[in-house]
Amino acid sequence: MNSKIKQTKGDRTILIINNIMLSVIVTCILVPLLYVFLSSFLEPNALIRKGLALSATDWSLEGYRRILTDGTIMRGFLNSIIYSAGFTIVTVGVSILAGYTLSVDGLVGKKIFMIFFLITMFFGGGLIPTYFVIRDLGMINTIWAIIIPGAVNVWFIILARTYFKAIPNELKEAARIDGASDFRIFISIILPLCKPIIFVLALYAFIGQWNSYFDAMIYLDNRDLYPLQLVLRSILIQNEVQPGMIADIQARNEILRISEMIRYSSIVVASLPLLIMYPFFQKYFEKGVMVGSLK
Amino acid sequence: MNKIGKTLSFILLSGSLMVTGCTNKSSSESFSSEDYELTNVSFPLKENVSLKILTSSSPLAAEDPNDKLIFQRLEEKTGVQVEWRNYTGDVFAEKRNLAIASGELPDAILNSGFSDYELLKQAKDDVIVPVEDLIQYMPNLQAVLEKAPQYKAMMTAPDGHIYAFPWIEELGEGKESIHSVAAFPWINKEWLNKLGLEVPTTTDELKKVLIAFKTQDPNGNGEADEIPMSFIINDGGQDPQSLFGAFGIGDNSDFTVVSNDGEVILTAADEGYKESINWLNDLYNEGLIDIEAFEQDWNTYLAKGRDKRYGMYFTWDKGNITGMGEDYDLLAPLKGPDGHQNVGRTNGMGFDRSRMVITSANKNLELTAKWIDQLYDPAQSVQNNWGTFGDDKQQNIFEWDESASMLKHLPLEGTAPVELREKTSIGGPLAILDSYYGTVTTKPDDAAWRLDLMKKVMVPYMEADNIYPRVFFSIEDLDRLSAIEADLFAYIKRKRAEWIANGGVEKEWNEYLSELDRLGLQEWLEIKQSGYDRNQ
Repeated sequence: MNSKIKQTKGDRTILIINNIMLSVIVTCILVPLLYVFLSSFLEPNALIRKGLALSATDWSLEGYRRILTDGTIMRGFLNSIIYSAGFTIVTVGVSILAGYTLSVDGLVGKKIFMIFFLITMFFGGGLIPTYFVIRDLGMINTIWAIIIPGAVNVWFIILARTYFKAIPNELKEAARIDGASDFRIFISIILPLCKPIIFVLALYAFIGQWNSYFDAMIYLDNRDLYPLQLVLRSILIQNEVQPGMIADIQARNEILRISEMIRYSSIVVASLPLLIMYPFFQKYFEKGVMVGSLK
Repeated sequence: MNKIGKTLSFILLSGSLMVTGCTNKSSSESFSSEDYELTNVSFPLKENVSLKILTSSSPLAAEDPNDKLIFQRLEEKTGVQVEWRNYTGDVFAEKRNLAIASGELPDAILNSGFSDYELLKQAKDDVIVPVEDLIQYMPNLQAVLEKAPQYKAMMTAPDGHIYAFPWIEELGEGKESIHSVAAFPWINKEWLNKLGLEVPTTTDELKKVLIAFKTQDPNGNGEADEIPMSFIINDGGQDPQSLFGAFGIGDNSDFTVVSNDGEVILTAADEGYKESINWLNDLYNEGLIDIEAFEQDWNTYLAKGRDKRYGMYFTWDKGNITGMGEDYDLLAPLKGPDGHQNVGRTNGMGFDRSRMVITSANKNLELTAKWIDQLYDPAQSVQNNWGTFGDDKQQNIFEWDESASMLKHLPLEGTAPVELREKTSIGGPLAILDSYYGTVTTKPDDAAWRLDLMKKVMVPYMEADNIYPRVFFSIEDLDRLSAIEADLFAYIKRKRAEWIANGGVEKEWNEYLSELDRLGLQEWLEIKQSGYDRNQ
């Protein structure tokens, strides 16, 4: 049975325009992605000479072979996963707990705490003092230097707090009448309700940590602890070539060749985990990012 | 929530904040050695001492420098143990600055990589100490400076102090130096032969040859896909600067030359420069210059070179672009329209001012100086720069010839020399003088080949006796120079490309000269000139 309401002319025009605009946007996003993906399977010289010519002789897995056999890249990949996962768990845990506490009505000194947190959004201690703190806590050259310093993310806390505030108070009151403690309410009532915000925060935290290299560069000395981004950086940037040094003029050519070869395949490898994660998180993501707009 | 609950959570929360606010007692561990109270140090040491040094190395090299054979041998020879903090080149600058800012100074920094500006700044902030008084402990360095006294002036800061130990690598002396001409012009000999043409000797003949390359299908594929001439504008060795000599004083990448009377001249304000640009514009209008010459990067340039599409191109060493085959040959400097034949010299030299500094935290100055002096030992310097011999774990650059007691280069057998050098050499402060070749070591093959070409093809036509040396300017001068150069050189480079492609150099020349003056050319010349005079 076809019970569709007949669309007016205006509706249809809008729909068509909408579709056209969306496809343009999607193409704009998709083309570079596809280009990188296809390029990663091509011989770098062939790519420069002919562009994306899809003849079978130009295909090569050399870039991937180099990445997968290079111990440092694979170790960096594992480190990155550990850091990102660890950081995600800690950050999300802290944000949810702090966000919930700050959303509870009648918490004494709520304003003060909030201001206390907010100040850190605008003022930092600076690189060197922060380095001193990390050093004196004995965290230099350990995984903790990556995970702990950024764990309290005020933006995440605000996001979480806003979400919790939207949960009706009656739910909590009902639970209390049934004899639940504050902790029980949080575990049994609130947590199941706030999956979307947890997943959104987790995704943000994971991506942020996955793409960052600066903390690792400052706090880590041991090359075995380097995350993927730092390893890639050292391969792709290497030493600046100084003109006039004989060895360097040759080095430049060799380095350019290698970095060209692995450039695209390393981009693909480095973004793979995020691409895989995304579909699983997507249904929560849609709900979650709306959180801020509710209030 | 009841009242007690509220108060409790408040106390708990504020308590946790206070705990995190507490700091451990500060244990500012410094990274410098204690005072060993050693005087009249002679190696090998009987005492068991160690120095703490910050350094950088290639990502290809071992993480712990003590895994390198050169340092193992050095430790054996001196008895000084070195505790390293080693970072790869990409993070080194940050780590070095962090160590300085946080006060965790090492005894010394090897491969310190300070610019002149940073060097003077660190000296002013008492991070590094002047070392001229330490040279008395350094017989090897003294010997180097005796044989090549010109470096002493370049090491010395305008305030009279020496703040860092330099890296000196000579390959050929004077005009015959490997740096004299960076952008060698390579011409396609195969195409010349095929079309029955002579190697051009004048700018007019070159134009005719290039036209023939364009129109007579020298690669014989029936398509006009030949590129008569290609270059990368304003890119050092890939720039067409070496052709400018036919019209006057020539040109180089920093537009600075010194006349034979010792006057500093900006090439880009010279009459000959105008004519060179005009001539190149003529070639461009005839379609003889690669249209990509103004925007291509190295990889594009390389790809076309590998396909052998160039009739003529510019680079340091043809091996990098078209391979070491016989098909391309070095083109000798051309005669200009009025019969002038010359090639401009670059100001390049194998000299790096800041390869090692001693910090103010160092309490064993004599010991450190004597250790550094070991690096200036001739045979040691050669190995530090290129790699060593007798390593059974990996390929070697050298073998030790017992009878002649010198180092001999071994054939590379397919390994890229760069990779091997970066794995085994240590860089740092060192001195390789031209007189070492044949007595201390053999010349590297690639350099020997290029030096030979330079001597035979380029040197006979080189007019300039002087180059502009690595003058050590004061902070004030450096400030002025970099402020002026930021605008001046950008303008020159932009105009250069624009004129070759679009023409108009004749018409705009006077306007251009007054714009150069407006951007501070006269002040720039003054600073450069006084720096040059000071260095003589």
